[in-house]
Order: sequence, then C-alpha cells, then structure tokens
Amino acid sequence: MNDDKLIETLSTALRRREPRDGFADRVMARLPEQVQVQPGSWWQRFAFVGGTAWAPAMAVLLVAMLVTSLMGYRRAQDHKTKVERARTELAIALQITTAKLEATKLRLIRNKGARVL
Amino acid sequence: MRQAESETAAVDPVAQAIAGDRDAFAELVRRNQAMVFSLAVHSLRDEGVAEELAQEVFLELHRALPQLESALHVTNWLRRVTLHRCIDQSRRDKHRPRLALDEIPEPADTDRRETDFFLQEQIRKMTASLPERARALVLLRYQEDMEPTEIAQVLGLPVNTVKSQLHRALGMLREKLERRLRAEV
Repeated sequence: MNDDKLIETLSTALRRREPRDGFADRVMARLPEQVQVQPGSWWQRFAFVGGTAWAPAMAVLLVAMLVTSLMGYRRAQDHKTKVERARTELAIALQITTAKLEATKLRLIRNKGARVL
Repeated sequence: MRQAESETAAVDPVAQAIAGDRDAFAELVRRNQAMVFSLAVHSLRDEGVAEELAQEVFLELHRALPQLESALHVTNWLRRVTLHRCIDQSRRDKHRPRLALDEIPEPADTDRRETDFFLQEQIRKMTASLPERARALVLLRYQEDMEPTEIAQVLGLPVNTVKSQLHRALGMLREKLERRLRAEV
C-alpha cells in the first residue's frame, strides 16, 4: 500500500465521531452548583475582585511587612543606643584625660616655681 | 443588548464560559465533544471508557477555565489533556487482554464496502496499538488534520522530532498493515 492510500485510509478511519446523544447534558449534570459571591459592602467587593478572595493573602503580606518593619526598627534603636553609649564613654574618657593633663600641668608649674626659688 | 450578548455567546462562548455562563460552557462542550470523544475512542478502543474519560476532561476544563484565554487555547488544552489521560488509562488497562491482530475475524462477505470497512477497522486497531507518543502524533495529524508545527506546539516538542516520529509511526502502520494483508493471501 503506498503512502497516499495509507494516509487516505487513515484520515477516513480516524475521522471524528460524536458521542452518544445527550453527552453535553451528562457533563453539565456533573458540574458543581455555582456559588455566586454576592458583593455586599464596598470592602467585600474590593476583597473578591475576579472571584478570588485575595484579601486574606494581602492581610498575611501586610502582617509580614509589619513584623519585618518592627524588627528593623528594633535593630535601628539598638544600634542608636550603642552609638550613644559609645559617645558617652568617649566623652568621659576625654574628660578624665583632660583632668589628668591639667593636674600634670599644675605639678610641672609648681615644680618649676620651686626650683627657681 | 440581550440578543447581542446571546449572539456573542453563540459565536464565541469561551469568554462567556470563563465569566461563569453555564449555557456558554454547555455550548463549548457541544462544539468540542466530537474531538475529545474521538481522541479517546481511537486511543482506547472502548466507547464506554472513552465517554467517561471525555466527560472527566470537560469537568477538568470547567475548573481550568480561568487560566485559559481563547478558543484556540481551549482546543489545544483539550487535545493535550485528553491524550495524557488516554495514556494514563492505557497504562491502567495494561492488564486487560488486548486483541492480537491475527485474532481479528475476517469479514464473511468480500463486498468492497465491507472490505473498506475492514481495512479501516484494522487501521483503527493498529493505531490504538501504537506506542503512546506515535499514537498521539497519528491522531493529531490524521484525525485533527493538524500540521507538524501545530502538533509540536500542543505537545511541546521540537518540530523536527514531530516530523521524524510521525514518519516512523506511518512506517510502523504500513508494515503492520502489509503483514496483515499478506497473511490473508
């Protein structure tokens, strides 16, 4: 059998067939009852755009963002406290150093004066 | 406005079905039922199983509708899902005894019409017995009259793979048929 004859026979043998009468009715009978979401208040309409309740997902996202922000703020506050503490310690150290320098200076002046006398 | 809307639904029920119109979905089923049922019955050779499978494909379509965009998208989706389900069904039914080709009874009458019918029946049985990929390609090419580029798009295969495997599938069918016809002589 040549290719043309085979292809012709294939196309005839495999042509589309209809299923038994009432097929579409049988399919529709198996479909679930549609649940109509009745939009009520403005926020319900907002939350159910496109038939999908995306508000819960948005709520989760907002909470996650809030927690992340709070953690960031806490870290910033801790850092600020550390900086302040370091600054204070530096100031105290400078004061101590200055006081010591003044004391040493006074001793030197007194010693110089005593040698002159 | 209502008449225009129903005319639109009659012309393109896809958009209406996606929006939740049950009548439009029923129209979608009617337009595609022959394609889906034929793919199933030519793969599985059992009308009862084929109808059940076809119903389930449309139920799955109803769930998947929001992800689909156009009539062509729906048609290709139906072809792909039907063929995949037929493969799964074939694997589940592997334990069932399949009719060997040499057990196919010959027609009592040699009338040409019956001979043609016999030949076509042989072709259908041989197609159903092809390996899964080859069978899918033959059905899309000769039942659905699709070009290799379209088949490649539906099955997600390179075009050259489709062409070479189709050529090989045709060779397998020709060989089986010639062996069968020689056995009759």
